[in-house]
Amino acid sequence: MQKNMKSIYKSYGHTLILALLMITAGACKKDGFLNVDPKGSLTDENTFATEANADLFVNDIYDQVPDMNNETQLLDQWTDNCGVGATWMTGQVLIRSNALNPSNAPDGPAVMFKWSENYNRIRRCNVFLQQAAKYRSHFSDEWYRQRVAEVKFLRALFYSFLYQNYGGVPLISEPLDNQTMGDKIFVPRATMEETLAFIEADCDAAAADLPTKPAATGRAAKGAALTLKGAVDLFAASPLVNTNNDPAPWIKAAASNKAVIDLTVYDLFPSYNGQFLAANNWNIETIFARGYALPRKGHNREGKQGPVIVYGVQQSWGNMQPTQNLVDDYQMANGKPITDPASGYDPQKPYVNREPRFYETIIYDGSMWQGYTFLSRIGGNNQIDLGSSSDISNTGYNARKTLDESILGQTSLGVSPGTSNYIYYRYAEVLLSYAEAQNEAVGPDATVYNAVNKVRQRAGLPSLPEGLTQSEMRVNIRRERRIELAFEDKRWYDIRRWDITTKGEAVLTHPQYGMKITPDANGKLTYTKVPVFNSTFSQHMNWLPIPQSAIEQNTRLTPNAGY
Amino acid sequence: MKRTPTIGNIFNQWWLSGLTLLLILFFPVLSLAADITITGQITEAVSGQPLPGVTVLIKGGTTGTQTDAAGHFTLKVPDNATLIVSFVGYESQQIPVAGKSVINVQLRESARVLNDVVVVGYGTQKRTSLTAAVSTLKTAEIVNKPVVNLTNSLVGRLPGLIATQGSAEPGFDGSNIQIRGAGSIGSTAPLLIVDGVPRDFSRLDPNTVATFTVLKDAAAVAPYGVAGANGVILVTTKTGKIGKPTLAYNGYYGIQNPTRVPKFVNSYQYALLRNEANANDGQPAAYTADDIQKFRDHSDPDGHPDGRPLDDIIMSNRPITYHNLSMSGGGTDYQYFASVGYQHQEGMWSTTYLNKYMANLSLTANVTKTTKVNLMANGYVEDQHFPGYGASSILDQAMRQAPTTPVYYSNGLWTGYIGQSLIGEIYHSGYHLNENSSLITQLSIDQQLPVKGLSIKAVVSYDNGPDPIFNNKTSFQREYRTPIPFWNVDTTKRPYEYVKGVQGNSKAQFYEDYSVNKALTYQGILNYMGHFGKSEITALAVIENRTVKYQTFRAQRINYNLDIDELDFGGPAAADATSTGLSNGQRQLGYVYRIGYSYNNRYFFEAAGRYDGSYLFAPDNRFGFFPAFSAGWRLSEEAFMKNIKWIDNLKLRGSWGESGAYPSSGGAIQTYQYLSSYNVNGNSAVIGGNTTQGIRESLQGNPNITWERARKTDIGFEASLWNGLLTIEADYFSEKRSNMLVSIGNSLPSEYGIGVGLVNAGIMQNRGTEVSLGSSKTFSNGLRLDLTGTFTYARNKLLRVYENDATYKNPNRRQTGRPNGTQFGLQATGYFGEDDFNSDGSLKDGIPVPTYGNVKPGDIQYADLYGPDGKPDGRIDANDITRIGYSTTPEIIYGLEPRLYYKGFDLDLLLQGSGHSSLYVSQYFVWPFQSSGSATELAYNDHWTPSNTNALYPRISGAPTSNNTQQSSWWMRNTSYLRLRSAELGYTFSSRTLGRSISSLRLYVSGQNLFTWTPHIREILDPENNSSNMNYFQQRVITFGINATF
Repeated sequence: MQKNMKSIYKSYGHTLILALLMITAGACKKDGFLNVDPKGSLTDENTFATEANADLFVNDIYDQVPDMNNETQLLDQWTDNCGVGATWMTGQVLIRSNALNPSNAPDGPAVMFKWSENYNRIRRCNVFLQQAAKYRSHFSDEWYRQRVAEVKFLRALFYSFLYQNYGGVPLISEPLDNQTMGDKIFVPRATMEETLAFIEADCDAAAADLPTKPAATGRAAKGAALTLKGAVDLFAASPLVNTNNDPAPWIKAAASNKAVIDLTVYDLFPSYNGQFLAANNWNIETIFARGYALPRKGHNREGKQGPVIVYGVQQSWGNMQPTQNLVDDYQMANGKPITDPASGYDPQKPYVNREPRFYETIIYDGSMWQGYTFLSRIGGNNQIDLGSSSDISNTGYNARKTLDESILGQTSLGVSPGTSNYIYYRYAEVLLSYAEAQNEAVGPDATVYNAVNKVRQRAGLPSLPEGLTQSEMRVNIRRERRIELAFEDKRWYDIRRWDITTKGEAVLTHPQYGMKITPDANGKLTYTKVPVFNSTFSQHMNWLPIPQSAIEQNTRLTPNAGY
Repeated sequence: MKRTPTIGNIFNQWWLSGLTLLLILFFPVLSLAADITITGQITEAVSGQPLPGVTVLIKGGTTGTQTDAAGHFTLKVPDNATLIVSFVGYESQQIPVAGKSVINVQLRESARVLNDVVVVGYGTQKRTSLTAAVSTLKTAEIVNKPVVNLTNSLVGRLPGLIATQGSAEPGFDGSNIQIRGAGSIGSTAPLLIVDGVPRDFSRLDPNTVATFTVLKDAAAVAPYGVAGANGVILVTTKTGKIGKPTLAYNGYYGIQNPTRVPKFVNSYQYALLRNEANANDGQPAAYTADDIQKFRDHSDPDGHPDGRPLDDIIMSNRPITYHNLSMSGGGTDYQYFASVGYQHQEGMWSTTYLNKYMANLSLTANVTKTTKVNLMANGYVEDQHFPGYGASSILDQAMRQAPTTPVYYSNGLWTGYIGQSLIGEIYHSGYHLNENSSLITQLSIDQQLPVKGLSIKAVVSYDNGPDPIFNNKTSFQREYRTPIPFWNVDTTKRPYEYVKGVQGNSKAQFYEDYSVNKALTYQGILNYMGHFGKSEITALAVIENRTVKYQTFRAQRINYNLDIDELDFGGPAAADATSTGLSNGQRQLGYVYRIGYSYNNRYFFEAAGRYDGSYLFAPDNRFGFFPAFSAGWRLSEEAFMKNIKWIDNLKLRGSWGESGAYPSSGGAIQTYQYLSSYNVNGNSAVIGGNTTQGIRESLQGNPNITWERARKTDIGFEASLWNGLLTIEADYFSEKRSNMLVSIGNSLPSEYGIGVGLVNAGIMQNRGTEVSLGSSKTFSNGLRLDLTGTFTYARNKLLRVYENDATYKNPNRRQTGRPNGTQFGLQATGYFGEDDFNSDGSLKDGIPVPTYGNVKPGDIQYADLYGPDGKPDGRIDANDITRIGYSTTPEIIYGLEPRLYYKGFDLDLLLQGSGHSSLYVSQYFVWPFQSSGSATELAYNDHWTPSNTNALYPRISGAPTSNNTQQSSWWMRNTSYLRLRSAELGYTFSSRTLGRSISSLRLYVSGQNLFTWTPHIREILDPENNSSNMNYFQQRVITFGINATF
């Protein structure tokens, strides 16, 4: 009996040992055991296997176009058009405080001109161009031509951000590879001329193959490529670059802008401010824009830029704070500037009888927003914030243009419901660019008048008086451009290329003003211009500093002068 | 009648007395003293748990007994006898019987742990034969401390462990732990092991933890191969013990308050400061004299309020509670340990709180005489509740909000400031819920083999819970974000009107997020131990493989028309619903060995290592070999030392070896770096009116990526003197870590256009010392004093990190040769004075010109140290950057823990401090009006003015200027501190007063962070808050607790 138990016990024990050995053997696996699929990763080959796959790569490049409608700090804050919403913002703390240097080189709104970011964007273009050529046989001729053209336009756009802010930059047209290219990955800066030529060549190549009307909204068309070329040509012709005022660049700029007009694809949209509403996306005036769509690709522009207090509570951040300097540039309804004694301007009734675009662009004391009367006067619901202790405007004004009055600021901040386009280029700019270039090249001929007056006409202003001199026309075109394109992130480029940041009007070395409106006991208002920020700036800052890190990592880069 | 003594008589007397002597000597029971029967109970001094198996001996004899499962004993002894009560791992006690019939004894764990068994990788070792650097912590020391995250109990108590607790937010309050400092520029997180398997211990029930062990040197971490280089923390959980069933209750209730709350200006001070700023900036005054008067006299509480946002939102005396009931017992065939626990912690506001429910079961069965099976399951469910907004966002807003906006208006309505409402965010924003769960299960079978000393063990574990290496979790999250109502006062109306606004979404949105992390681990372990004369040989071989799978998905709905937080009730449009998800996995395969040889319990040699493979590397580069060697010499066993009576133990030991660390960067382990791949982005450009998918290059891969390689050397000695009165253990350690991942980004142009796979090229060295001291003395009046102290110093040095020329060639900026994390910035020299300027406001000749905008008197002046030519160039710019501070992680950590026991009272204090750490302070906390923020009282009282030129802060401006907010020495703070980290005072009732139903009872009061001394900081800042006070404030906790056994 006992013996029997023992043998059972013994065999039981053996079974256990066997089981244990099996478990431990289970622990020994071959190297293949360590294979874990990297899900969500693709290779060169499957990315460029079909048109449909490769289209996704191009989609991603389009997505690199800066997302300006979600940006907190817009570019007009860097200029005399706008104060900042908060005192930490780049436009005030770096740009208009004379504090730019390579260590704090700004990225720009939506990292628009961040150095490394643009080269990331450019690399995507270069990878596409390289890989699409490598896998050329996977694609139809039509698809290939069209997508290559789109990508070249996008590459030109990214280079234009660099060119217009830094000047000549390293021109990289294929993906850099440290394993095969050795020292050649360190590319020195090209000259201004070479950079311009590179952008022009991409624009030309793109324009040659792009359709006049894109197959889908959001894609670049021929007009976009031509307009971009016109914009960089105008920049290159302007005093900051064209220091000798050589007429040739002006002639070229006039021609390239005229090429857009000659397409006869675009026209001015009837409603000046209405063109910025989602309902009018991709209207006849829009040449190139970034699109938005719900649910995950909407924007919150109204919440970030709209007026602060609405119906007694804070709705928005009020980051666009138009200055008195800008307000003073709006003409009277009769088309005369307020400095003209015949204009009928009354400094104590400053908002009476101004030109229509003023009312479409600026929220001022006594104007309505969402059915609410905005009062920036002392004691008002949006009383001018002289202490900068809240989001309420420091100038007494907020922006109206480009904002959709039907969107509540807090909703905008909460769910980003905006789907209106951010328009990079529209036809009115082309007209004004043409007029400016043509005026500089040959003087105020009829085509110049036609172009400017077309813009004024849509704005409800009388035509310019006949017989203006070239320089009088220049003053008018520059004013027209400032007003027409206010809050569209163009002024930063304009004041620099006109070289008026510290020279001439010296717009960045004069104080920015706000309007303090004081009611007396009877409710009579007294309007006083008050300085709200003393802008300071240096001439060399017209070119942004190459970031310290870029200079440190690529010793072939030369810093911009003055830094 | 007197009898004359005869020889016979003499003999008789001698014989009798001799016999008596013999009887007394050898048969004490028969001695002439009266015998009595005594009973008693032996309990654990700290926990009050009864101790079974304790030996009770009569001094000078062999008679004795052992306690039963309930710790009881009965023994017949002479009434003048002395009892010797002893138990492995505990201090022996001698107790005179002195006629007593009941003798209860409390045993304390021995500070002198000569005979302890220490948990090491994949097994245990005798402490005497240990040749590696290993520290252990008694769980009794931390079990009653009111901390929810166990990582917060370790600092100052374990030599070699450096820990900082950056935030105290419930659920996110874990300490950042480094073993022997930072050994890598990548992740420095130690490997966490619970019961032999990688698992996170931080949120286990403290009453289920049996041991804490820290493995530090190469020899100790060798079994962990590619994952061991940062040190290993081993935790074992409790198992059953033989004895009658005992039930124990441990619990506490406590209150929490922030250690330090910064003080901000009141509205009167704010208005004055604003006007001063405007005057400095040449702008009109912001506030009239009338405004200022009203702020001061509170006559217009809603029009001219005086808000105290931080004070108003932080509630005081926030509860924290803990209850645990455990049961343990068993016979020789089976033993069990079971426990349930509950923990509740409330945050600084009532919408932050957590509840944790914990359960644990361990069953051990001796299935055959040679087979032992253990089944363990340990789990918890933790519900963390937060408002819809995070604590850092709330604290940021509270510090930003100007006092000219109150938190509540006089009618009780809550306000908004800059469109954000503090009260709204805390109480009316919906909620965020994390339901984290963990269930770790393990079956182990231990089989002795027919060969003597040889056994095989198989372990299978299946866990569903947090991953200690990749930080994935098993959790269910819900977030319901509602529109946040708030009110602004419209002072243009008479009477004032209070207008309702809404922050955030106009309609509620909701998401649910499920994540599951599951790990399956197999271990096969072969153990051998044999004695051959004076030699002893031990051997261990392990095969281990591990598979981890992680999956997560999220469903979101927006535009709720109904205020019901149910996924299905979201808006009806297709675009109102979105979902996302991903999955990934990990695999590891390792072969471990350890061979030990010792001679005469005097000389010890050990070799250990692991051949280890991980999925992280390219298929041909997956396996690595990580060996270590160590030796020990117990000098005290040598003949020439034997007669030095005051030396109980003296051991020298040393180790050398290589271990590995997963390649990491920015603290995160890098996966699939060996592939050059493309990623899919599901939310790309809008084309044709619709969002599209996009594909982008993710990385230029590095097919050669491999593990970090650590070469570690350790020399240590251990001594125990004067019969345990003093124990010392000291180690010197040195490590060279190579193959650290560095970005070669610095060696590529920033025009490169894409991230490049990191390269294993960085080298750093880490050296230091650690010392622990222990002392224990019992005084004649019964007072016992135990003292333990730990000291750790670790300094690392970057040997090769691929700097670019701009920093490498500038000796001030060079990182190579300096400790990792050294902070760099401009060297502030003071303020510009009136004398530094010409009449036109420009700086006088010879004064270096800052390039951060125009400066004025009262702005910070910086030292001109360097220029493009290597000499000062008259400009303050990036070239002038230099070392301005230590890393934020201290190089020195020390702790001193005295414990006193006297007549049932016990007192335990932990004084803990740190040194060599710096914090860069910024934002509203030191820069008045930054981002339209508020200002501190300190800034109000001590900023530069022409009459206060020696101020703490520069001149006031409407916004801090770029010049003054440059990263500079001006804003570096030395965060060295000394704090009374914990204190505990307890009283244990003797069993006589308790009656039969309770076998032991101890009451205590305990505190955490009771007092903190920061001699170098004037700001009101907890030294561990590593985010300029923006992290959830550290808490001072006071609790009242009970330990009872039945």
